[in-house]
Amino acid sequence: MKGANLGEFEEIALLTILVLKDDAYGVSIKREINEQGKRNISRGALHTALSRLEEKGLLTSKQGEGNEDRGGRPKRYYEVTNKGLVALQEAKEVRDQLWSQVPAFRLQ
Amino acid sequence: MRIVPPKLYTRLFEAFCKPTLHQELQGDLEEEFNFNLKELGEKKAKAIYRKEVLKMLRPSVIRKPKIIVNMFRTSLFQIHLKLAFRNLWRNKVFSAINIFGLAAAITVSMFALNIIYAGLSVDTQHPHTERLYRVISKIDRINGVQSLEASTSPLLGDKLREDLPEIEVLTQIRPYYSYNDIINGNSLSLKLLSVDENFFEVFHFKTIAGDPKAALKDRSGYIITDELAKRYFPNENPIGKSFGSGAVISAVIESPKGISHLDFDIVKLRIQKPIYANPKDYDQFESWDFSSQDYVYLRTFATVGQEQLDDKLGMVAKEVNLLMKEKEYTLNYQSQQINEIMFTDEVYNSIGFNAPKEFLYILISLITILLLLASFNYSNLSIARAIQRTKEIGIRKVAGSTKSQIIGQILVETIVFSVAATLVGYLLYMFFMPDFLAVVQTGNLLFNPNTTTSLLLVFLGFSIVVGLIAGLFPALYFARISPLSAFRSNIKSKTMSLINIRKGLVVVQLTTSMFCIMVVTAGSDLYSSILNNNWNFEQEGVVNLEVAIKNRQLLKSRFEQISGVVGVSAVSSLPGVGTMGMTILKRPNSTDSAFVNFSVVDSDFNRVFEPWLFAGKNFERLSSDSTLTEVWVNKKLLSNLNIPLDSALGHTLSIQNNISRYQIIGIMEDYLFDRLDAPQIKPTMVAHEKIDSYRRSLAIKIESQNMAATLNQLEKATKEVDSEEAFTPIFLNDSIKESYEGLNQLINGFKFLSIIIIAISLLGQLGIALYNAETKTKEIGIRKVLGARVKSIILMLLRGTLITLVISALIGAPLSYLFLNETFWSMAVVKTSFHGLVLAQGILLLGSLVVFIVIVQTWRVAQANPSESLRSE
Repeated sequence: MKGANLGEFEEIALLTILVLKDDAYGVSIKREINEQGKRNISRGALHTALSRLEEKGLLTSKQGEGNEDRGGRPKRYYEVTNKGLVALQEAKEVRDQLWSQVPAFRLQ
Repeated sequence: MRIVPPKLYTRLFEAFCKPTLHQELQGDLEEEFNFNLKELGEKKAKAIYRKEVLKMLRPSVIRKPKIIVNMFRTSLFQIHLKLAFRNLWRNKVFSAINIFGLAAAITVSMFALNIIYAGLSVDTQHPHTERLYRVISKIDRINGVQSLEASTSPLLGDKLREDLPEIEVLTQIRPYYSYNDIINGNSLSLKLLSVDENFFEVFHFKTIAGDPKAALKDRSGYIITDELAKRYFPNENPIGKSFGSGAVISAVIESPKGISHLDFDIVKLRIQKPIYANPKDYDQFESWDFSSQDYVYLRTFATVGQEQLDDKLGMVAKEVNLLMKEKEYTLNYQSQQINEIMFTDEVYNSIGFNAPKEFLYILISLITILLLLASFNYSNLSIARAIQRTKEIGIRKVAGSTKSQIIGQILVETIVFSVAATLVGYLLYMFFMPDFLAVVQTGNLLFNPNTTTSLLLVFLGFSIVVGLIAGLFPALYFARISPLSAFRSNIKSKTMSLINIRKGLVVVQLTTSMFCIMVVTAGSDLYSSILNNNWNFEQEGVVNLEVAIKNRQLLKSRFEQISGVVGVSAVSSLPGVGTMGMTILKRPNSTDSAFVNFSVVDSDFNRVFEPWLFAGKNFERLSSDSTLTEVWVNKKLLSNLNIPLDSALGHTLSIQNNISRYQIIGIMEDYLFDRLDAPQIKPTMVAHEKIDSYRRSLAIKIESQNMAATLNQLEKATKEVDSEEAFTPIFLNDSIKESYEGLNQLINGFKFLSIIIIAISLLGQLGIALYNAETKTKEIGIRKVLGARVKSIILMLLRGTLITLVISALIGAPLSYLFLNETFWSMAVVKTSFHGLVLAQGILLLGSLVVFIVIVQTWRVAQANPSESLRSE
């Protein structure tokens, strides 16, 4: 079934949320991905990915508090569900298995 | 001061973002902005913010536009559709009025759309049309007159090919528009293009049979169109068949009708050195000075722009000006893109189909006006019914319909109407097609009689647009209704403004109708006063006969011997129809010259036409030693050349290069050889020339008794002289009528349009009258109970209509007066009288029609028994 597998960006988003633990909301996820992944994604692109993950049931979200920097608007915190964890695990296993079969090589 | 993100973008984001997501996303954007503000500074932070907002434009974030969603959310859409059909069915009379009004407008628009669509889509099939040009000549005369000509010198093609490396391929065309030949036993006049080898490199026409490119190399091979092939070789292969002239058909291509501005039946390779009967003619016609036969089309290389091409053409033109013997004008060459040829500025000597650009604008404004009028009707009737429907809309609103859903409902309803009207209109369109085709084919217009899929799509799209326009106003009105006021009995405040708008629309309709009636009356008046004008010659009993030049002299003398014949004159053009052409005369004692209209007659002209002369004498037999040609001139010519009227007789005139001279022996009255549809009398000269010169016909005056017998004898004499000579005499009156056919067709076109416009307005009036009568049933009942008579009730209902009519007359009459002063009342020499009468006629005619409709509608209601109408409440 299409959509059961994780996309590369989705995997990174899920992992970032796990890394951020309780502080995973829009701005922090974006900043973390941009810093760690040395890439520059827009908030809009992130929104698309997160809402799709939520639709698949790999994420849940809940409304949080606001602060002055946000003009008092509430944050939305994200949390990886069990299903999300399983999907991540599966993705990792597939990769590890493939890596184990690759003959040793040197970076050229 | 606190720095905030760019406000415009914040607002933009709020506008397009889904409301459920807006809070958190806006919060995130703002938090990041504030973070960037500290880290990167104001400028960068704002730039990032803008970019982020723009990147939010994605399906997961954007909200769906409400109206569209509601209109097409299927279940709701189905309900709207159902409601629309129910409404249509319940108010059958209103629906019929609406549909037929719209259909009338749509039919005319379909014809106009077809012409526009066909015109805009021609010449797109050739390779690289974007760099395909025609070379046209711009002519600056010494007297300051400038003109554009589509044709160029026969030598231009080769010169351009040699001198301009920018040209990828070039072809030169010489059209013959009355080429006579015999196909399959039919003697025909055909359109032939004489082209060079490159014709099919530049133009693309689909091959039906044979190989047209190879066929061009074969000198006697004709390439014919499939239209010609189908007509004369319906069930056989035309390839290899030969024409009467001996030419063999070697290929068949698709007909250019409707796909190109070019118009032809046959394409053939040109002869390298055309043969002329007189070798001198070769030097004259195949020179730089003669430029009315050949047309140059070329394609440039992809890297060359039009400006660059025009520069180069200008340089060529400079060289050509030095080569020309003629010094009366200077030439300049310009390029014209192939797709601009169809609707272009005025270009003389044009080839194939084209129409002035103004014509395109006229068509578009015609469509707009008609549709506005028809849409007015729809808006008008919908608003008239609004009061009844307020309750329906109120209930829907109470039940939870939003504004946009109401708008959606009304729009769906209108589109159902307009699609129905389009269907009716399409049937009418097909019905009128044959008549329309007959008219179009006499003109230079493109019209595609076949209904193609793309044309149908254009029509369908058009009907939906019409629906949207017509429905917008009522839809917005209904959407504004608040459910509370819908149930309040007093809704006067709102409907008052509505009634004013409605009255405004009715006034516009009636004004336009009045205008149309006045224009048509003025036009018809002009046409009939041209035909029934007091010509200064005798028209009765004259017939005109075209004869071959070799039989001219013989036939003339044979005809003169027939007993019922009064006289026979060989004329180059008939009086009343106009002159043969123009010539240039030199002003005495000056280097200036003037253009004058010119015709040629013989000495029997007086006997046949009995023209009225202002002064001077009739033409006499030519004496062979005469070096001066006798001419008649009109007064306008004398004043143009500054010759005093009393000393004019005996005066001599010379043409440009002093080859021959004319002597004035008579001064004509006006209305002899003058065209009456020109704004003023033009200088005219009639010369007495030998019978074997110029193209002429024989005008025969016949005694009024035994006309048929005389005609029979004429025919017999014709056949005796030459059995192949056709005998088709035309009465002078018919020739004159025929020559003003253009004006007649213009007026008929106006008439047709006016009928449609008036029909639309009257349908609107009918609807309003019906509505008024229905809503006022109770009021009328009460009035009758209190003792009002039928007459006073009808007068009461009429009063509003009369006021509207008076207002329309006040606006319409001055408007048409101004318009007619610019057109029909000043375009012709003949002046029609009774201008006031024309205006009064328009007002009275429309007024009585409208009043009649209103009276008929209200009569029934006024007659009704008040106890019937008052009982049911």
